[in-house]
Amino acid sequence: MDNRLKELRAEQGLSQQALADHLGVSRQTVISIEKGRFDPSLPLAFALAATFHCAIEDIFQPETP
Amino acid sequence: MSAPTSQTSRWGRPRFGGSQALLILLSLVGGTTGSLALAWGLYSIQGQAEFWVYLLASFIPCFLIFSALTWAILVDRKTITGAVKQPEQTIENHWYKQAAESTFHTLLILLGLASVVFLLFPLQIQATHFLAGIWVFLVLTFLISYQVHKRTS
Repeated sequence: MDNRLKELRAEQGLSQQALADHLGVSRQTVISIEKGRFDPSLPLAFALAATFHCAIEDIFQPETP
Repeated sequence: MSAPTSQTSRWGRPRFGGSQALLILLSLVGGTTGSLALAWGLYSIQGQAEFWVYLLASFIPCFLIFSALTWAILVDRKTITGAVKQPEQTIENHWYKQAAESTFHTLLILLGLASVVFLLFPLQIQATHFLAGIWVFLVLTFLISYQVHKRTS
């Protein structure tokens, strides 16, 4: 799934490790989400949206065919 | 991995409170107790050699396993440096589930083929050897599957 996670993270000056610690997941999880290789669970997607004060749809978009 | 804090340590602390040293001590006691119990159980069932033989045979391979098991039961995960709070949400958990699924499918195929082989050929094999071989094969399958899923994700 396409996402703006890396962009949003950079806007807030968060490192991958810092974001991972905040969400309670591993740094590898954040890396995989940013690269579009791993789709987060719904609770994790909501946690990401809450972290960046936006809606889930503002972070994740369906892959363009 | 997150930096250690005053609340966390390398081996963690017991769930019921206490220091890291206490947790390590209890884990070693658990390891010793488990190994002794296993040795006594084997001696009681078989009794074909002196007790110290069973003690040596079980203590050396099983002491660390029982110690690790005791540690895993007693430790408070929140006190381990670097432990994530939501392990079920991580990609590592996703890889684990994929590897478990692959191993299960492999087991189905393996047992099906083995059934056909034993049906066609009158092989004589001890159950313990056969089951131990399957166990080793499945552990290796899981480890390889985990690495494959990790590399391809």
